[in-house]
Amino acid sequence: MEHLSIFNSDFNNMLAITANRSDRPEYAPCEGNFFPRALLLLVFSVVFALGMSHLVGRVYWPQPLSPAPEMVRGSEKFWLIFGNSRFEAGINSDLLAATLSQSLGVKVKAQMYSGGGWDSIHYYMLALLSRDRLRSGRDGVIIEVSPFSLNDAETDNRINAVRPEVALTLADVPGEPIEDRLKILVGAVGGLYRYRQQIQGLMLYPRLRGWLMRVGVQLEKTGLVKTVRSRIPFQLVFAPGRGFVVQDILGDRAALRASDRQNLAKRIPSVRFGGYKFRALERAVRTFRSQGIDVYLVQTPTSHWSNTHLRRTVADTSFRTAIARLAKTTGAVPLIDWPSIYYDEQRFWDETHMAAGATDTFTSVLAKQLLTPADSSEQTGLLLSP
Amino acid sequence: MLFTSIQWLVFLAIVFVGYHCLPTRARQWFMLGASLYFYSSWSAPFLLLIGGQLLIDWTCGYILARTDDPRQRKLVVTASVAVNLASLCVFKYLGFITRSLNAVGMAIPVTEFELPLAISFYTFESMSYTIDVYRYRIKPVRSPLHLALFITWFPHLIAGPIVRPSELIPQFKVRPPITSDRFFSGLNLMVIGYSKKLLFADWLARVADPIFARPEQFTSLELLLGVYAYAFQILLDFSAYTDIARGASRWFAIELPENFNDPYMATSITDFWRRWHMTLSHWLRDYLYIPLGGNRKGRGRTYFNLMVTMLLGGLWHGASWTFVVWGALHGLYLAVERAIRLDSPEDLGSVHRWVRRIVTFQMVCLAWVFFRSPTFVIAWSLLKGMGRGEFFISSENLFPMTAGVVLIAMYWLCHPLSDALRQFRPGPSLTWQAAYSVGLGFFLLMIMVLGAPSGTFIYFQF
Repeated sequence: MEHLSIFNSDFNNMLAITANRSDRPEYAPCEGNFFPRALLLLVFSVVFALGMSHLVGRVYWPQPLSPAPEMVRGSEKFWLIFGNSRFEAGINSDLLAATLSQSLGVKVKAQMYSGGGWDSIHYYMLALLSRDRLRSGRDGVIIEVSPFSLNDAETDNRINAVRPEVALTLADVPGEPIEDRLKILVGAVGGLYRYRQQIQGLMLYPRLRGWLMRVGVQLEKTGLVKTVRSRIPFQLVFAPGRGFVVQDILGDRAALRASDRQNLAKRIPSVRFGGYKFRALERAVRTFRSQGIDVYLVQTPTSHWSNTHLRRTVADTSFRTAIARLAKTTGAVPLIDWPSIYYDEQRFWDETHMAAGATDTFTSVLAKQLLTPADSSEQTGLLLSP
Repeated sequence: MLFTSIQWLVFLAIVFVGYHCLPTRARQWFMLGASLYFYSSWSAPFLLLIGGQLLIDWTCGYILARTDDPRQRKLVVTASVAVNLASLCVFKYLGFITRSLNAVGMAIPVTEFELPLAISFYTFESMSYTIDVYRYRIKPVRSPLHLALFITWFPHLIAGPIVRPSELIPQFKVRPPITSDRFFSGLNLMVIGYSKKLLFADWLARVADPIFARPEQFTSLELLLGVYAYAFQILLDFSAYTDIARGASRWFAIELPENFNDPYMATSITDFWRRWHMTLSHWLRDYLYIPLGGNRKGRGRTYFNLMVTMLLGGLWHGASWTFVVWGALHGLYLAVERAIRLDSPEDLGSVHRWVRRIVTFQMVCLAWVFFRSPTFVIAWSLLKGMGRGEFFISSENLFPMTAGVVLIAMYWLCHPLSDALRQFRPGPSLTWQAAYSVGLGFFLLMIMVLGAPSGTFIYFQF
């Protein structure tokens, strides 16, 4: 077959094998086995990197993730709220505390610990960090639940942010992916790695952006940069200091909705329920219930479109059954279904996050539920539907 | 188990220690076990598919070794190629074919299977084994272990480089210990690979992705910068994978071939294909272009062969018409270059060379538009947008666009540094090696803080 390559010399030339790369190793056979020294070198590098990361990480002051004892002591009743962006958009903790204080005639405090995209693994972390802080028979906890935050298919959800003191317990949740366990453990040792999202998002990015905006002003004079009418069909105006509370939507609301529906239509069928995320939730609930703390499992309403699509899935059916079982065995109160008016699309700025106007209404109705005893017949309309 | 995951680093460390602690005889079985574990971490059931193909190709090789009857030999190799191609067609192209037939009015139920990871890569390698045995270029392997290791060798299993049996199998028979040169050259390659992926490619993706998602929202200059960002993203992403695969292999005394050689410095498309994904272009040349007749059957047939080779090369990347158009564009470029003799190497002056580099880069970028766009509507919208003539950046997009330009510039500036690192070996003294170790520690720290939240490698989808 040699003749083929002669006939095709042009093509061979075209695709000539580029040999003699400069990185080709020149082996020294007489050198012997380098393995022990190689191993030592690698171990030293990793220890050095993690050690430095640990030391530098200690300088960074992260957001607190559990209430100070004096904060709890300063109230007659204290409510802890664990959630994600849907809770941030749907529940106003100050309003909740004020409503409860007014109704009960005592000083009630409420504190929300939340993060965008957080799920039951984070709630379990929060539960472990807050255990022994609350008072048995007086205080309560509200935990966000939904097939999204219990979705086993969504892994690596900023999991490296888990705090060191509870890392081993969180890495031990049965069924957890190996990569998530490792990220939790590396995050526990390396402070820089643990806070990388905050360092990038809150320190590096705003500084770079600010500097560039100043340069941009100069560049505008050259015509290379122009301030033009935005082509982005919609822009969200967030409430000051509250990341997911949208006060206004500028531009095309229909485009926003269409874009969000497109994303959800892809996301909903991939939801997988019943694995390690649910186990984490179960453990979080049991952590508080074993101390006699009231636990409410709350699913905030989503738009009618989103709710209808989600209800059709097997994951949602399993979710409802599992939550009902968890409530029955632990004494937690599930608040999963709400009267249909709360699913009205006008109440949401996208398909799953409540608009600022709807937040207060929902907070009030939630407060009413918290005031009603768990076994009261008044609650049945809002409890888990069969 | 992505190369960018902690799980991979732990896995590599365990395999490295295990390999060098085991007696020489057990090492190959150990590496096969490690490779199978690596693939099963993605998708265990598809191990059966790889195993099935492997068994068929080994059996075909065994039969080929025992017969010189041309008719029988042809039958055996045809059977092997047919089985491999059938597996590729069923898992990768059935949905595409049935969807396309539906689009032209034939009412056929759309059938689609889950795509086995790396099927395009291991099928090509598996086919090349039986074809090479058939062509008497290699002797068939006696032990299925060597063939299994050749196909499943974990560093290159998912996204290449596409290795020939003659390049890899002989290396399994030699089992030298790790030397400092092999260790440091492998480690340096991995450091280069991780820098490309985490410090450049994944950040460039943040610039390119919105451009290809909503091109109508960007000005012409922004679209152009977005396409350039993608051009560098795909180069850095894929070459990062190759660097890590080659570096990891060196730790086990295995040398994998180079896949890239500064492709954007090419002075023609012909030259580009000498430098881009070289192991694929060599495969296409040897197993498709030459068997089709290459350039031996006249000019017209040569152009036709070039076109067919590139069209199928495009389709190899993915079951979509946008990949077919990408391949067609490259086929057209190659045919035109050949027709007007632009492909023939000549002594170019510095200015001429740079003009040709720039023109070649623009042509490659035009083809990337189709390669990256999820649909023709997006590709057309992007091209139309670039033609609007808005040569400014809107202030709201100033940050991502500048970030893209800065990253590309930094990559060019760091290029000599990466070349130097490829060749760098610390001295034999303990002080040198301790200093190297501290340097590696600082690199890990930098990756921890500045590394982009990493996505998968682009070529994993192929």
